[in-house]
Amino acid sequence: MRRLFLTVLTLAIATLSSAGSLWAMPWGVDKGKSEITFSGVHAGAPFEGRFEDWTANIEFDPAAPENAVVLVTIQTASAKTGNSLYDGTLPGVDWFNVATFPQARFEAFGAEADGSGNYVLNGKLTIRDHTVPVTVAFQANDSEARADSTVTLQRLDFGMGSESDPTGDWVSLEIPVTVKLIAHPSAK
Amino acid sequence: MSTVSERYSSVAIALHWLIALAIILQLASGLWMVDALTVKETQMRAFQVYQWHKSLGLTVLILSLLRLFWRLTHRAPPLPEGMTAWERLAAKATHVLFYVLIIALPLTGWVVVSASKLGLPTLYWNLFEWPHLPLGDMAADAKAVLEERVGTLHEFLAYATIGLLVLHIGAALKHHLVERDDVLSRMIPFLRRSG
Repeated sequence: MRRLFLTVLTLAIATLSSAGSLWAMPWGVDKGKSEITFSGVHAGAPFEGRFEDWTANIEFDPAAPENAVVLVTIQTASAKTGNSLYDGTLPGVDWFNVATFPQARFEAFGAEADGSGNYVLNGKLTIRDHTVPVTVAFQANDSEARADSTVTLQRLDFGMGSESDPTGDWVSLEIPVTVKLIAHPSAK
Repeated sequence: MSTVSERYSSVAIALHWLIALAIILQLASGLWMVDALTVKETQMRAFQVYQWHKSLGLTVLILSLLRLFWRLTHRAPPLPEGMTAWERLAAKATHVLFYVLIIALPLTGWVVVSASKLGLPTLYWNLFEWPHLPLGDMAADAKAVLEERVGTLHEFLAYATIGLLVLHIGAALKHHLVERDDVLSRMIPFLRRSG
């Protein structure tokens, strides 16, 4: 009986190890060197902003990128441009609608590697109640992962500003979002 | 006619000229910004002028309510004795209409920004957020209709103000230059003719 139990346990560990995902290393984000920013044009004038409150959960093994799990949760109310007029408008119903959708989410399961340290995450970004596929590139080795990737989002894909400015007369329809992220394997 | 006559109180004079200056700035900015907003080159400037116009308009509202309160609690100096009945009526009507306009103009503007689909906050001189009228429950369509109609009314009231200003300034100048009475100097004390 005892022997059977040990056998099962050994098999179970071996299976899980080879499957990898449960053993993929958790990585911690260096928040001081990481940021999520966005930009756009309003009435002909460019603006920039950043999300001040977000968290990322990363599980990643450079040797088994297919098991990577990346979950980023962004507090939509933390979008700040430094322009009080914009910052007063962004939380509104027609934009982030923070009362109904307090969080935006990026989730990716599995990364693709090119064999020379470059990886691509194929994830899904959910803002409000719309989800769009998004690809984020990053570089990684055993001790560090770095992303500096800009994704140009179409704000109407997320229904943002669809009431107040559906044609982009005021606010550009394209909103580039840049993810600068540095992560290290968490101490074991 | 007596040589020494009453003038308006200092508070009334200060409020009159402050509101006068603000109204003229509001008319000028309002007339300019509506079209400038549709031209790419001036869109940003017009957008900023809109924000400024909102703050100044709400300032007019505050000053006008103060002024109405002051007027209701303080007697205005009497009109010159030589005026005919219809002149007195016209003067009275002009002044009453002005009170209506300087309160109704900012109020209608407030409705417009509250109903605006742009959902922009009103940052009073960038000091604090001035609340919008509670139209949250209204359907988007109804809000759009309200914004359009009250916006048109706002514009109409602005043109009415220009017309009334012409009448008001014309009458003041007639009193001063033709009748040579003290009507204008009641509001501009340094114009007083010495006895």
